[in-house]
Amino acid sequence: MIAAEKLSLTYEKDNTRVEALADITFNLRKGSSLSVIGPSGCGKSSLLFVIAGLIKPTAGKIAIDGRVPDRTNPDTALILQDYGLFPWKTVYENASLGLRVRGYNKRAQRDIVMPILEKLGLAEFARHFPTQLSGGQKQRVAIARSLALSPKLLLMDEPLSSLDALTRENLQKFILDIWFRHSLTLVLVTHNIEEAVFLGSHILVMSERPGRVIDIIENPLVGTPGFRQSSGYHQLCSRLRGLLGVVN
Amino acid sequence: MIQGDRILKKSAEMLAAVFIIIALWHILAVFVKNQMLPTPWQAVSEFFGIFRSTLWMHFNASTSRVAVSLLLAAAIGVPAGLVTGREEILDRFLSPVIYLIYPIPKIVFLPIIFLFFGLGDFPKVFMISLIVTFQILVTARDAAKGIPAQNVYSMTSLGANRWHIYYHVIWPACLPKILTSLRISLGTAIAVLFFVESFATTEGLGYFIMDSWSRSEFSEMFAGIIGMSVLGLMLYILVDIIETRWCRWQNL
Repeated sequence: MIAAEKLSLTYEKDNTRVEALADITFNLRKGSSLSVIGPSGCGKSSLLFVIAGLIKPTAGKIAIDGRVPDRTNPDTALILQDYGLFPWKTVYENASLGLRVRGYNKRAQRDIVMPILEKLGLAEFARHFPTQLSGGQKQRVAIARSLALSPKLLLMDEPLSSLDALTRENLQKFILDIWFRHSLTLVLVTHNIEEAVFLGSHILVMSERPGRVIDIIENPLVGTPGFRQSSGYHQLCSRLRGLLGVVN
Repeated sequence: MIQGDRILKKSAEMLAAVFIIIALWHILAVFVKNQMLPTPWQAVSEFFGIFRSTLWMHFNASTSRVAVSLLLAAAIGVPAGLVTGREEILDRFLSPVIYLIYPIPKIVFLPIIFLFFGLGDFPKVFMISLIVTFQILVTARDAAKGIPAQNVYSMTSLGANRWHIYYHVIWPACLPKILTSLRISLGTAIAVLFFVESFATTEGLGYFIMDSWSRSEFSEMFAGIIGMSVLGLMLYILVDIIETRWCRWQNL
């Protein structure tokens, strides 16, 4: 699904050259989920933007299903850190926006969006505005908007970072559920070790800037019942802590 | 239901404010005891007395001048401002020009404008629009500039083109600020209207006020002033209505 080969990215910011990514190489099979974890400012989000086709890498190659990523590709959906919802649009208008800009008529928009809102428990909020929702609800609206486009690849940039612990765990299960049910390929950027382990069938550990790949860990137990309580889960968490230089 | 309650409450507040202003005016008039300052009762009865016979015509002329000027200013200022705020190349060319022209008191060009466009309605409308367009343009530009890149990213990632971004992001995000600038411009527009109507015309509230003054008809003059105030208030309320309809998300 995703093949990245020696990706590098440098850009200019305030007249200084910033080296964001260096030599990133990985492969991700269709239907897998990749957690990208690393210290803050290591270029995790930049990597996601490159995969989404919003930024072009300075060097190296990346292909999604054999093609160069393109931001207009309807098979790829991106969910941003602050959910990317527009406060001036209702829940329904936000959720159907992707379909609207892709030229679906009103009827088709409704037929696709309403069932998704229902499934995500948002139907009763369809006419609410985002400021009237809780953080967890907003996140679900952002997910609804992406699912409406029935993507094959779902990219998420620290989707749960601003939520409280309880909502966060619930939404983690929820994301896992969606990943299974829609047989998506998932790339999730996070700075939370537990989240990376809980959601990633593969975990890409990145170094400080410029972001390099420290390790890619396979996590075959992801999604199995009781995984969060298992010893495998805890062992993997401490392994990641070690790799990221967190002192126990 | 809640909407209705809000309107009722606002009307009650407004009524109270009108009452206070009238009371203050009355006290002042009684104190000053000068025929130049009639009591509110005299002025208001004069207003209603002459409204249908003479004042209406002037009120109408002024209303259409201000309304057309504001529409014209918004139609030019808003799109120009939004585009200048978003397109860097345009901004680099236009912003220094705007920076230089903005502080010039454009009202001083009135003689030249009269010279070029004659003495009809057009030069008056042109003058008001010229002044107000800049206020709206600068506000719209700064509002558009301040939109976080995240908003645009999240739109492009949905597959949006440039037009979609303007329509779904830039315009609604800037609308509250544009309406605020419209409110401020309204005051400016009416002030300029008064000035341009005191030259070379026999129609409009500005003319009516100046003419009554020269004839020492102070009750009439105040009827004109009330007319001017009603005109301003009407337009102000109109902007409020637009805001409650188009910016519902702002008042939750």
